[in-house]
Amino acid sequence: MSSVTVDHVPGKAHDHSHDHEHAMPHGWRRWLFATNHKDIGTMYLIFSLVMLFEGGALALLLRTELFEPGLQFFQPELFNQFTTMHGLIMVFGAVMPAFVGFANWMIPLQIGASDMAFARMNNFSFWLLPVAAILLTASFFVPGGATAAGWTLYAPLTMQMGPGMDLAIFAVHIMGASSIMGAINIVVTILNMRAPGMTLMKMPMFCWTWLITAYLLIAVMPVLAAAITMVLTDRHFGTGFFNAAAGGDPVLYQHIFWFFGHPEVYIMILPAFGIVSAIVPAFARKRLFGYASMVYATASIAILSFIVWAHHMFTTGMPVTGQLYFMYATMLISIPTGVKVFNWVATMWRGSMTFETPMLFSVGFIFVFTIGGFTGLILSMAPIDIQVHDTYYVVAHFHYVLVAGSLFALFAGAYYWMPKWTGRMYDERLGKWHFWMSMISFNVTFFPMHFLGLAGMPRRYADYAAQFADFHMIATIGAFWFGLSQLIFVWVIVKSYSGKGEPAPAKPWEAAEGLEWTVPSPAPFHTFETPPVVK
Amino acid sequence: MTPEQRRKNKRVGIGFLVIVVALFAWTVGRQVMKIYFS
Repeated sequence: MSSVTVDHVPGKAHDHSHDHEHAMPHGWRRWLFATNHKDIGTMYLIFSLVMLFEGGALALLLRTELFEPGLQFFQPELFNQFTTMHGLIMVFGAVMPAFVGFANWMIPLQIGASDMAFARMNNFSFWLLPVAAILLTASFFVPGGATAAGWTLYAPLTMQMGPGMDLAIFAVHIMGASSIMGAINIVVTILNMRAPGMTLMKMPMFCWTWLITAYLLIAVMPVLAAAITMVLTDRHFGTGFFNAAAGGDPVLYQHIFWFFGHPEVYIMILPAFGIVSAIVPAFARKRLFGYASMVYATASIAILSFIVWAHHMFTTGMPVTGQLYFMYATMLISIPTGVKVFNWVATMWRGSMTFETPMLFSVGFIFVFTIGGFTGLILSMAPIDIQVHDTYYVVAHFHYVLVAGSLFALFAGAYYWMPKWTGRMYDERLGKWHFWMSMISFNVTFFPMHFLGLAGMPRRYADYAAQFADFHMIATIGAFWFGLSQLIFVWVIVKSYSGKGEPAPAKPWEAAEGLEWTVPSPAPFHTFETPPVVK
Repeated sequence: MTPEQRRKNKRVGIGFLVIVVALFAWTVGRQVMKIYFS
């Protein structure tokens, strides 16, 4: 990021809470009618943590069944429901809302705005989410159970499901509406509400990555909403968009879904890049290497994400020319991604590095995410992808990107900004335990899945041949280890929020840059009511 | 937030909402044309 110096920080004049006690509601009204970006950010973060544990519990149920070959605990129908709901909950309930929580908390603080542009819409965006989560979870208890069509909700499976499918469609509609409103809020906040002097090219990378992510959301969420609306009309209103018997085309659904689905992958990783781009310079005590190239790389990844969707569909029988186009276009993404990884490493090069928990998670992110990136490159090659399509190789790949990528960056960001949120330093010893336990157990869980996939183990199967038993057993042990490790994180949060850590100064990290460190810790209820002047 | 800024926010926000509605309609409309009128 370009150097930001603040001429004066009028927000500081309003730091004393008694100045604004009249404007800070108390009790349940504070949360139900919340319009304050920090309160809404906190609610998003708590919601996503709850959903992370719900999705995680479903994952552990899957791993329990897969511990040994044969069916021990669940019938395949229920297993498929768990698989589907694990995916939907993690994508729409945990990862996306967590990043929106970070955006709510940090974007106004980083650009010197008093709040988000549409404070009431912000409240509505959040409160839609618990409704959707209840719908999704309740779908387990309707006749036929939850949808078992996979998180991609492919036709014709969606035609064969019970009412749980309709609940899932409504839930995804609601979460989509929430995401669209959140994205519009973020774009308008960044475009219209930056402090004087905070030019776009002076913004922290986190704001840049979120600005680009928000554009992606606005462009693709309506497409998903349209796709599942057509699924709904196919199911109940006599249309035949995706029904071959009625003149429709199930593969058409896949095209529409992945036109949303591939940008969605970047929606879940670009803000993670922004978080890591904030943390690495702070703990390497150097400026971010190649700020402008980071911005352009982020934009390039976003643009490319729109033109590669059919690499998820190499086995659907597209012409060779189509395969070649999608293969080469997909490979192109490795260039801007490589620029980013290079820049993070170059930032660390000859820096005065220390390895507090946020930095550990960030370096861990770079290391493990890169492995996920490489397996993505391998999967981009049509001849290989056709061999390992729908195998555990793919499962391993996207968990390296989504868990070690998105989730580790979320942990890094949580530790980095927790002093600003709570006013207390987190427990460094527990944080380091959390990192090492997560890092090791993550690899124990997911690395063997590469071998399973290469050996031909299909994904979404409740049972398997005896030859896969050893790797599955290791993966299950790793999964429980990983799940239990996350309890350390809860412990860290509870300690920090209950005021047990050391009081945090306004700027706990000596080399951290950005306006958020110019306000006290915890950040007062109202900040930057008079915008700071950025030079 | 000044009233002028509020108006500006509303204008840009509604602009994006129009894009969202148009994308939804275009996606459904395209499939209707493809499946029922081609």
